Amino acid sequence: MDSFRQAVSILPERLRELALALDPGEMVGVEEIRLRAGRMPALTCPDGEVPMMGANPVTTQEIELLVQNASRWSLHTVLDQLRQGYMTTRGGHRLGLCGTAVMEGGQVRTIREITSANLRIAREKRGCASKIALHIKGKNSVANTLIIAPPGAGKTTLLRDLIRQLSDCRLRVAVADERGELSAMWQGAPQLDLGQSTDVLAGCPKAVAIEQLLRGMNPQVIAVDEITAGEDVRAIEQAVGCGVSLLATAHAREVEDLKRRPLYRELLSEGIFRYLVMIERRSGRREARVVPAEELGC
Amino acid sequence: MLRLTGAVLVWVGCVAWGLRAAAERRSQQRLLEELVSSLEIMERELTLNQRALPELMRQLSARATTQSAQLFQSCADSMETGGSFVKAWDSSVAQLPLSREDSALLLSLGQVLGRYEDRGQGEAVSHIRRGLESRLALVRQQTLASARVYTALGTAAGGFLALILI
Repeated sequence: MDSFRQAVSILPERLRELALALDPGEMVGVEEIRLRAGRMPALTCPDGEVPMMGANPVTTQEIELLVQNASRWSLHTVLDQLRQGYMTTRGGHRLGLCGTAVMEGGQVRTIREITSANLRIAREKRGCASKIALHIKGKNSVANTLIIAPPGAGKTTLLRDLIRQLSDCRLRVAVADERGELSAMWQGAPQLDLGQSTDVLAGCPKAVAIEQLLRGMNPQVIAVDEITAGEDVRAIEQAVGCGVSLLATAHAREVEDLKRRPLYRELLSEGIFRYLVMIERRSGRREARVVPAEELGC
Repeated sequence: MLRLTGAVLVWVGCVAWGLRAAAERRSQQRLLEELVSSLEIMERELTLNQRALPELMRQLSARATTQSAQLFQSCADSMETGGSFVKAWDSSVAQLPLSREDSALLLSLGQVLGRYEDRGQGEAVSHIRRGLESRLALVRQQTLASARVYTALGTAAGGFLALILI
């Protein structure tokens, strides 16, 4: 509930009051708050998207104010994130944005006329990775593990708890936290607990971060969230070649989805990952299942 | 004796009025000087350090010694409590003892700060700083002249009234 209150503190006053008027039981279940200009504000709950009752449509001014609040009236400090369509706010909550992209040299320079915002609430679920940690942890090492699930299924939450548990077992874990979602760095301090022996390099592209962590921090385990680029794969291969264990996540519903994408096909064919963790939703609850990569033909 | 005392009091009052008017001009000059130097720091912090606005406002408030401290402090407080920076900036600028031209220059800055990339903001701050600098040069000249005039006027008027009373 505290995460919810912290996340909604950046909403414009009218929307914040609406959100805080929710029943405490409802607050716990809210995963996202979705705002679309001219539409009713909506909440994403485990059962899907529901409109906020008694609300008037969201205005573009309200979305603009939300963006200003989220950046602490300092858009220049979050432009790199904004170019990628999101920004991380205090507490590790992620604000995804849509509007009109301003292009420069074939790349997104910024987003103007923002018409949609998705505030995803970051929550710590301590202990959610206990079974997985038991499975993948050896005496002084960890088996390379890839967590796969569709967006919003809880990959980051699971990875965060896994990092914390391994780190508290005195393994040196280095985190390449490009989007700041794992550690939720805020003014130099992680807002979310990543364990006793964890070093975080936030805000840096994953490939560069992995290289720097390998050089400077002598990690036993490297953790990265959402492998999305060829450079990430090459950096991962380099890390594994150095004898470092790897924890990573990827967007996919099942292994077949991964195999269809050249980036992951390459990664899986090299047999880097020993275990795949799949998050599935069963009767409204999420369950993580550890499967040896061999069984899935990876 | 009573008349003499009254005349002295009138003379002292007029001199004080003259000195106060001169001091007001000087304090307006000091405020402008501090605003110019604050904008110089603001420009540097935005472009070189990409400082976030709440921290920048606190930093400027801590080093300020004139009413500009209140301007920066109230903006920082407003942002920390989820309020609008633009509203806080506008209302705080309106409370400063500035001429209409100086206020207009500062108000335009509220529409830029925190809304654009660091380079764009730096350019806008620089532009407004240069505007304030030329206003400051004018105010300096006026202050020098008017401070003497007010002091002399107060002293002379006080002496004249005192003579009439005696």
